[in-house]
Amino acid sequence: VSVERAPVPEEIVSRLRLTCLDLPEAREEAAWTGTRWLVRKKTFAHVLMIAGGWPPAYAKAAASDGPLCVLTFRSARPALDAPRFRRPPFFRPPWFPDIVGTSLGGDTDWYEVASLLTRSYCLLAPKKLAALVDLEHE
Amino acid sequence: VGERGFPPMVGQHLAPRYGFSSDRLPVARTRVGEGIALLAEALGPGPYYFGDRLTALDVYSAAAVNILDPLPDEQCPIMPPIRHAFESMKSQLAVPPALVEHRARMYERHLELPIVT
Repeated sequence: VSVERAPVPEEIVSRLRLTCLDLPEAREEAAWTGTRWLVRKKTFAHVLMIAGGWPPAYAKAAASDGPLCVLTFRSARPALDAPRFRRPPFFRPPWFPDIVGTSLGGDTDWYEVASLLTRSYCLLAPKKLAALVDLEHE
Repeated sequence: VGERGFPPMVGQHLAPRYGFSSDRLPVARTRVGEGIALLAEALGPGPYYFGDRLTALDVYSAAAVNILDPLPDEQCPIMPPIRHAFESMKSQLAVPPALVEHRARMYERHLELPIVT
């Protein structure tokens, strides 16, 4: 399989890391492409680069052959159904019913990204851990 | 069976063999989705499910993805009505890219294309 696999800019990984690893028992690991953050065995954030139309499923979902840095996370209803998640910079990949993607770049609202990732974490984390986040952020 | 499924003759042959019941469809779809998600989560940075170690799970996974996301005819010839049945599942069950990439790696390194019987 001949593909171009561009790395995610380190400054973006670092910014996401600050939010993700601040969450209880969250851990980071290299994903099949890019970097992902997990709680227990569930991925609540995944950042990767689309370049040269690869990975094709992401390129199709984000409507871009790249180069484009994208982040996927999980969201719950009713927020999941918000129209803005279907407009750039957001997109809705089809492979999980509750997955949302967003492109990351110069216009990114990093406060909103942090909030979305925290919610994604709370959605997937055991209740005991999610409750700790509520206590910390309220 | 029918417009989005197997041709009626094939469906009527398969349904009793696999205990098909229309009232089980919602649960079955959910279970398949959960299984796919579980597999996608299990793929880490290594090339295989267990890191650098190739196991039967890798082969089974690649084969299973072929049902959910059929390879093109030049790589995997399928009778058109049967292909239609498999392809029609795509609208309801999209395969996570991690699994598709894993399949590509499996065929690149360990399995043969085209798939012929």
